[in-house]
Amino acid sequence: MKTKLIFFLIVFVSLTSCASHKTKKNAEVGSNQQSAKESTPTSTPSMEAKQLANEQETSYVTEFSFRKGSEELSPTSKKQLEEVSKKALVRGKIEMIKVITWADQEYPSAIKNKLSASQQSLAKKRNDRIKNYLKKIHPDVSGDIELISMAQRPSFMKNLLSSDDARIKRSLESAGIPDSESTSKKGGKASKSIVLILVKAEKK
Amino acid sequence: MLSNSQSERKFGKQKIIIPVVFLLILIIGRMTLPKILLKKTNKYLSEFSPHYYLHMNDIDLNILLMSYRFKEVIGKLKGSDQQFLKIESVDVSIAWREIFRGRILTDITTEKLDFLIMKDMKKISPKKEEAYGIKNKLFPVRVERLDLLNASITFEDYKSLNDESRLKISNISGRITNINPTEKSPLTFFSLKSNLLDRTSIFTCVGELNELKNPSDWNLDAETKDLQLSALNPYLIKHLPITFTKGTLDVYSEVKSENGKIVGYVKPFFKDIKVKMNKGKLIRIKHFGIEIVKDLANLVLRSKTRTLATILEFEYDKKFKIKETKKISKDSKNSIKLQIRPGIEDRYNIN
Repeated sequence: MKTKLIFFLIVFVSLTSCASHKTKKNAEVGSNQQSAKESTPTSTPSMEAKQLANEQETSYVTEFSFRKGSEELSPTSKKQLEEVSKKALVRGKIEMIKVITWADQEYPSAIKNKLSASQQSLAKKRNDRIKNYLKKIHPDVSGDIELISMAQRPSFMKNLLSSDDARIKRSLESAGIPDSESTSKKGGKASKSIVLILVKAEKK
Repeated sequence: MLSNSQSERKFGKQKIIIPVVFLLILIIGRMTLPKILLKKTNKYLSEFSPHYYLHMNDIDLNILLMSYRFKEVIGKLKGSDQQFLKIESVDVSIAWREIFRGRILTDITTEKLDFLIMKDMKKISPKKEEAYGIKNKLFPVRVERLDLLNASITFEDYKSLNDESRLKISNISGRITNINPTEKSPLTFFSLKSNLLDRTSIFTCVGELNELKNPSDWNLDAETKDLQLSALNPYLIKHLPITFTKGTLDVYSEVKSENGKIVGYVKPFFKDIKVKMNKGKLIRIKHFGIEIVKDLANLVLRSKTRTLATILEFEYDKKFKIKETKKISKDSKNSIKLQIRPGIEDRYNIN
């Protein structure tokens, strides 16, 4: 009885206090400045990025998008990188930074194995941009910056040795990211980049 | 004094005898050690707690790979003999990736773990000494990671949506890392994934726990996507006057506990909903208030909108209360004053 009452109240409160809007193909910010200010941020990392960060034992993760065909970092992306690295430095010394970047297509399937040369080059350029920017804002950071391109699957040797590249890509696949053959591109990561910062806590 | 040829023969014999003896020791050890360990371990597991006992059917050792496996582990309450735990296998192996980093750690993988959440969990909540005792006995080398594969949780006190069996969450996979935190690395990380109600919707949650603090601080983000609302109908048909003919539900949530105080929010998104009223039920739910039900029906049935969203913010500090529910209103031109975006907002972190 108590369970039924609680369940009904949850459904009722949810439905009666709800926002409602006509469904549109592309979600947009509201029509006035007030709604733009109050709408929740779009730049928080996805659940897949958080799962990956979790497996790498770090809470410092950010995720952002690139414009199609471009390797330029947007002002929002730069700000996100600055914020996450600042938070990490408060905690301790940066041990390693892992940059995982997609080209403008989804991760290649096992059949495809790797994307075209231009897509691979795009993912590499994006990785390099992020690395250079991180080195620019934190020149004193001594940790390694590992770059992982999601434009190709790990090689046989990397799989065999269970390298970081292979493990991260396996983790993302388990988290449910679509690949080039997936019919549903829900949760797709094309044109995106995930940056993880691993920190060595400083003794207090 | 031995001649050269006698010395050579003696050395030759030793070259054969030593490895043969070593091999025999390995074989005998491999055959007898698991039985000895099993007996000793089961004895310990039957006595370490006054309220419950654990028992395993077999132990397998793999000396070459430095791993071992517990098979068919069960847990039962003493007295009532009620079973609350069953695990098909528990694999414990050296974390080879950590060896290259100069650390000796182990990984644990459980296969088909079934756990019953009972009405009174106090009986099986281990005390710190009991937990440390088990940890030291079964997992002497520090554990880095625990993986759950194909696990399930059953709730003793709650019925499933069709009221015929106990509520069960199955097909759970999860990971917990840094199980033994240190001052230098205080956070334990966990993530979990499972099906909810139907196979199409996935529930995912990730979080962190700092158990070095007392009380422990923790933080978790959770989301479930594409839950078919029609999957709720078996329950709704019996108890409420509404049936979902179409629609999906996405739910996003963050919860944090710091110094014993819990704060969080739940953000449900009902999408493309179509609802049917079951008029015959109105009489049965009179005590909820017919007016409330009528208002609910009007809102859903007459509204032209198909997607509804809200944020429920709550806190718990000795008492649970809903802090705020963001209310959205339409203005005269039918546009939205405030829009709620789907997704986790990343509000909370623990220090």
